[in-house]
Amino acid sequence: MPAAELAAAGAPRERAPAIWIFIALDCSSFGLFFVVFMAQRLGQPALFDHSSQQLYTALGFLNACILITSSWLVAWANVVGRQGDFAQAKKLIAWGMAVAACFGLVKGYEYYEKLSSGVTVSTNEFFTFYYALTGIHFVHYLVGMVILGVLAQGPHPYAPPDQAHASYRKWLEGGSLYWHMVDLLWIFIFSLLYLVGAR
Amino acid sequence: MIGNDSAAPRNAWLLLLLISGLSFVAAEFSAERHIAIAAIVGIAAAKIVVILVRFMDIDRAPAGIRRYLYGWTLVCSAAIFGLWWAASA
Amino acid sequence: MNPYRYAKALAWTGVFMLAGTIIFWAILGQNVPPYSAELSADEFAAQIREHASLIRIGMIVQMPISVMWFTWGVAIWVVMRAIEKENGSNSILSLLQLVGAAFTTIVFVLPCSVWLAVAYRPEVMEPKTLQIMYDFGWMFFDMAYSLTTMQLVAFGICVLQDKRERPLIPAWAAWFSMFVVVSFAVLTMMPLVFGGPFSRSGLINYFVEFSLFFVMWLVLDIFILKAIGRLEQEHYTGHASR
Repeated sequence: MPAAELAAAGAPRERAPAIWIFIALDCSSFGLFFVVFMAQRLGQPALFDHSSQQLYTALGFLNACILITSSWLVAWANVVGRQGDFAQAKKLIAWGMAVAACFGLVKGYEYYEKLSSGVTVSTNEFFTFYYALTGIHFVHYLVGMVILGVLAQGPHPYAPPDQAHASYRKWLEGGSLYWHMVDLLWIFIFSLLYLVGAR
Repeated sequence: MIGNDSAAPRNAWLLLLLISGLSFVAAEFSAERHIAIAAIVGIAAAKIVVILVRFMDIDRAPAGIRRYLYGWTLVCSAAIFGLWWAASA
Repeated sequence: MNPYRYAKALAWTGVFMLAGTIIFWAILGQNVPPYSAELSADEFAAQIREHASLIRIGMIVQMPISVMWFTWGVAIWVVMRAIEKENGSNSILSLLQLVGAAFTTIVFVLPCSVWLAVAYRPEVMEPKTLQIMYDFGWMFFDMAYSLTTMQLVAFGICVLQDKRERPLIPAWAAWFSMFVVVSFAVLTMMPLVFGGPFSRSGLINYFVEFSLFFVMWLVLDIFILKAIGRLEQEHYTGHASR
């Protein structure tokens, strides 16, 4: 839908995309982490590669597929939401959450497995970054799950319908953008931590 | 047009899973590391662009943000590959 | 009476405190960057003994000026209340912001008293005692970030709902401040490491996080000052400025 149509729909001012500013800033800070990680790796590539091989690449790959699938369901929800089919949007968001819940399980298993075999933040520099990057990403994921949980409730049931629908559409738009960012960041994190050092 | 095309996210999903698989194979089974790393980083960048365009409808975002995020993807991938190269040399 | 009386003065206290914090907490307090957690107790004690008098002056002034975090928090509250008044007078977000500002003030006061105690009589204290006190100050200073996160996320959500054609606080500034306080989550790594980018004196957890925080502080205060000016204008001309 072009911007002109949105303005004609009666919204006094379309400000949902301002979340793009947050996304750009958040990506920048992750970008900085990636560069610092690679710069720290410069002096000790063997240690970083050896540590990376202790991670289960298959689990990281599984998590990438889980997030892509969840992101896709949420993108789809956004498409039907724009067309006004909120019942379908709610259902798709709920499916997106259900799929994404598996990400938490897999990540939780990985953390448990690593911590119980004595691999912690202070094991070496690679694992400091492993826990920092995946940990901060995990916080983003948890916030995203809460946002999806709110979106799965659908538009406010008691507010006047036009108002409730306009506000739901705005939140659906912003919330799904945030969720795609969580997916997008995992792609670089997965490549950096699991793939670059594999074999 | 992109916004109302519900096939767009669906096609993107298959494409993303497919190229993710490729990058996994490159990492695990490729003998030539330089090519494998280039493939991993290139595929990561491609996946990010697909997500930006197909899922996030970046064409609707302000032009400055659009340029910035494409630039970010490029700079991050170039830095990852460049610093990997520097460490292996 | 002008309902925005005093508000501008309160917003200015934020700028004064920013300047004061750079001079007294950062420069005189020897916090650019702070002493590394990698120093041995003896090395650390030697540093403290050498700079004790400067640290004392820094902390003695920083403690009383820290109240200004709360006073300029009240200026933020004034702007938020004006936005909330147009949105059904739901005052939950401005309350969260105000309480967050009050708690964050403690974060600026308490660690300074701890560092002041470190600099009080370091020549007769055991190096390890000095070190644990200094560490304690930093644990409190860095790890109480959620108080500030609550304050400024509540602020950001509120000002994004401003219905004015030209919002009192631009959306980018709201998102920027929310980004900065959310990024404090990286500080969670600080108690787990001694050196490297995530340590209390490291690249990410000191240089990047603190620079972002100080820039956000200035940016936010400038927009709060401007917003209060516009609110006064709206009040006297009797309608929202366009």
